[in-house]
Amino acid sequence: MKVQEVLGLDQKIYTETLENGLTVYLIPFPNRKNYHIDYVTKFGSINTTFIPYQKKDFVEVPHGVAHFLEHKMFEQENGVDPFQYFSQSGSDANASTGYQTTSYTVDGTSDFNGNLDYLLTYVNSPYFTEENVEKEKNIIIEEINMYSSEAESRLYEESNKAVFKYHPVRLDIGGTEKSVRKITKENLYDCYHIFYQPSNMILFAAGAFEVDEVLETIKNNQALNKKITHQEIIEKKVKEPISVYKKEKVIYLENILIPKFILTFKIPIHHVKKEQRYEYATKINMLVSILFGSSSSFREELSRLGLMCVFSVSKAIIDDFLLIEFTSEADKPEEVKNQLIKWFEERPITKEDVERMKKVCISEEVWNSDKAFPSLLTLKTNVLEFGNPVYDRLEIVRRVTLDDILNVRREIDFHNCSFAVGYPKEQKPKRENKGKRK
Amino acid sequence: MKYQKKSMGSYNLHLIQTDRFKSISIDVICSNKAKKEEVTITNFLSSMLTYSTKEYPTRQKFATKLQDLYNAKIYPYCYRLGNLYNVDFNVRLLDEKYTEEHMLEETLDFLVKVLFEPNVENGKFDHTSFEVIKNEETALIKRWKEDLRKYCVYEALNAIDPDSPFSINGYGTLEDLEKITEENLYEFYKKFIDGSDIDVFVIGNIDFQIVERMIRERLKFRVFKKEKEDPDLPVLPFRKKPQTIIEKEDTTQAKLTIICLLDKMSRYERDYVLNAYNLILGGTADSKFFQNIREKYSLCYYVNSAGNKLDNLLIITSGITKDNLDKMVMLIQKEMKDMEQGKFSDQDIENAKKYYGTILDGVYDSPSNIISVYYSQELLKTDDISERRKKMNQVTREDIMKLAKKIHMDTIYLYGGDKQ
Repeated sequence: MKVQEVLGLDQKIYTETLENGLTVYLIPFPNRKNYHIDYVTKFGSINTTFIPYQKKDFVEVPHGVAHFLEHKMFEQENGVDPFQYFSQSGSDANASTGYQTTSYTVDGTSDFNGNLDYLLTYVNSPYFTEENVEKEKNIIIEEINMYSSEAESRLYEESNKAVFKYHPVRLDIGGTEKSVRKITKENLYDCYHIFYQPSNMILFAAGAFEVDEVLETIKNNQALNKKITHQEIIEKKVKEPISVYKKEKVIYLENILIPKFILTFKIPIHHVKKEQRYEYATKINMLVSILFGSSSSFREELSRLGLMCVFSVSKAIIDDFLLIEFTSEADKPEEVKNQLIKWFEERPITKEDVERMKKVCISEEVWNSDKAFPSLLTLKTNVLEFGNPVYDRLEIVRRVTLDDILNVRREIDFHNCSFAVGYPKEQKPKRENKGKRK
Repeated sequence: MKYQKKSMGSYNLHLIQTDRFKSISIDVICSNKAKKEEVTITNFLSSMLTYSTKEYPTRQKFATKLQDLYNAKIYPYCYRLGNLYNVDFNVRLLDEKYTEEHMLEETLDFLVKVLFEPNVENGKFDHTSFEVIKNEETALIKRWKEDLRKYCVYEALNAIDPDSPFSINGYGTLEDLEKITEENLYEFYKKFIDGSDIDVFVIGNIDFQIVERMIRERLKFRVFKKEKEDPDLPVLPFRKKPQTIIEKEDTTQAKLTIICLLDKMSRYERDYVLNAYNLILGGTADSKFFQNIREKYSLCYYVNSAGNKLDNLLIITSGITKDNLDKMVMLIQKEMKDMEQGKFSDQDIENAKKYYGTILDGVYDSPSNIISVYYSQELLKTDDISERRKKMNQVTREDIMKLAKKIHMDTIYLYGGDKQ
C-alpha cells in the first residue's frame, strides 16, 4: 500500500486502488481500541437519471431510490440480518444516505477483520424481492413522517428548493410517500448494478487494526471478487443557474415558538480548479470563522441592537457550488438577516485576526488528528469533495494571508443568497373566509 | 494509565496519567441537589461564567484569550443525575508537545478567572453579557419543545409525578428566567461557588506532583465539606393497569412514549442486569423491538428503550401512525412479557454482554469517558472497569427474568398524528 504522512500531525494515510477499481483509505491508530469502517458508494438522492447496466437509454427512477436501496441492502438471501451478525461481536452497524453518497458503517472494538469481511459481503450481495420491497415501504414512510414532523428538516427542505432551480438536491433525500410507493425491485437493481460497482465505491477505515490484514481481507472477499461490472456511469446532469432560484421563501410551522431561518449564500466555484478547491474552501472557512466564530462580537452587536438571535453556520459543496448556510432562530428574522449580510460584507478584518485564526485552525487539526472518527470524517470529506486526501493541510493554512481572505470575500456576491424563513403557524395571516361552507 | 485521588480539603482532586492523548482535559464538577426552581438560574450562571470575566469583559476578549492558548476550550455542561443537578466546567487544551511551554499553567489561570473572578461590578453581573445570555437562554427554552421526543418524555413523566426530580425540565422555564436579574444572579453565584459539592479531574500526560501543586495554588474553593447527597430517587408505587394519555396535534406522525416504573433493584441489578435487559429488549438494532416490531410488522421506523437506574425508569419511544396505537402497545407488552418468561435466546444474552464489553473498551479512547467512569465510581460507588466486565459476564437468564418482573408499565403517552 502507498503510505503518506499528513504533515505535522503524526498521522499516516495508507492508500490502494484494487484491480476491480475499489479504492481503500486507512488511518491506523495503534494505541486505540475503537475502529470505524465506512464503505461508501458515490450514489445519493441526486443521482436519479442515468443509463442502467447493459442498456442504452436513460431511465429516471422515482425519488428516494438511493435511500430505499440503503434500507434493502440489509436484506440477505439466507435470511440472516446483518445487524445480528455484527451484534455477535458487540459492534454497531448503520447506514445513511445523503445527496451524493450512501454509506455503510461498522464501529467496534473487536473482530475487525470478521466485521470488515461481513460488511463487504452483505453490501455486495443484493437480494431484492417484490415482497421484501413492499414490506419496507411502511417503515420508510414512517421515517419520512418523522422528518416531516420536525420543523428544522422542513425548513431545510424549503431552503434547498429556494437555492436551487433545477438541481435534484431540491428533492428530499427520502422521497415522498407517493414516490416511495412507486419504487420497484427493478428500480433497485438498475441503481445497484451501475452505482455499486467497485470503481464507484470507496472503503475508509480508521482506528485499531493491522494495515496488512485489512488488504488481505478485502482481496479475499468472495462477494466483492464476484463483481465484474465495468461500465461507465452516464448521467443526465442539469445545468443549474448561478443565481439563487428564489430570494425568499416563507412557510409556517407547527410546534415552534420562535421564527427560524436559513440564509444560504450560493457561491459558484466552476472557475476554481479541482486541485485548488481545498485551499479555496479553507479560506472561506477562515473568513466565516473570523467574522462569526467564537471570538467575533457579532452576537454582542445584535444584542446591542435589541435583536434576539442564536445561529450556527456551515459550509457544503454541491457539484460546482459552495454553499454557506446560516441557520438561525430570531424574533425578527428580516432584521437579523440584514445585519448578518452587512457584517459579512463590511466588517473590517485585520492581520491579527487572520494570524490568530491560523493558530486556531492548526490546533483544530491537531485535536481532530487525535481521534479516529473525526480523522475518518476529514479524510472522507476531502476524498469526496476534492478527489484526494490532503496531506499538507497545515501548510495550506500557514500560507494564507490577509489579502487572500479579503480577496475571497470580495469575490462573493452577497446579493446571491436565499432566505428561507419559518414562522410559528399562529403568526400565519388569517384569510378572510367569505361564503362559509357548512 | 495511573490514577490518584487526593482530598484537597474542600474538594477531591482526581489525577489520571496517560500518554494516549494529544490533549489535557480538566473537569470541574459542581454538584447540588436538584431543585426545579434553581435549574434555570444554574444554567444561566454557567453560561455567564464562560462568556466573559472581569479581566476579559467582552466575548471578543474572552474568546481571543482562549484562541491565544492554542484554541483551548471551556464550556459548561449542565445535567441532572437522579437527585442531583450538576454543572461540569470542561476545559480542553492541547498537550504542550504540540504548542508551547506553560500552556497548562496559563489555561489553569484562565479557569481561575472563570470560576472566581466573574464579570461583576458593584454586586451586579455585566449588563451586556447578561443580555446576550438572556437572549440565548430564552431561545433555548422556547426551542426545546420542538424536539418532540424530549417533549413527550417530559410530558409523560409529569403525568406520573410532577414533583419528582425526574420531571424537571433541564432547559428551565421562561417564568424563572424572567425573575433573574444581574443582582440576584450574583447572589446565586456566591451560594453556588461556596456551596457546591466539587470534584476536579485532570487527565493527560501529566506529572502528578506538578499538577497537584498547580491546582492547589489556584483552585481555592471555600466549600464546607459535607456528605455527598444520595443521587438515587425513591421507588414509586405502581399501577395495576397503565394509564393512557392522548394529546391531539396536527402532525403527520404520532409520537409514542411509554414510561415503566422499576421496583427496588439491588446494586447488581441496577448496574448490570438492567443493562442486559435493555440491550435485549430495545437498546440495539438487533433488539427484540427492532427485529420483531419494526422488521416483522413494519409498524415504525424506530422503537427504542432506555433504562435509567437512578430514576428507576425504563422509557420506550417510537414514532407511529396514530391508528396503530393499540397494536403497537400490544406488541410492546408481548415483548416485555416474553422477557419475563425467558423467551429470548442464549445468543441474545451473549450479544448484550459483548455489546457492553465494546462500550467498556471504548472508554479508554476518550478522556471524557475515562473521567465519567471515575466520577461514577466516586459518586455512585460503581465498580471499576475490570470488575464491571466480570460482573456483566455473570448475568444469567434467571437474573434477567427476575428483573423483568420488576418492570411495570405505568403511562402510555401519545402525541399528535392527527394530520390527514
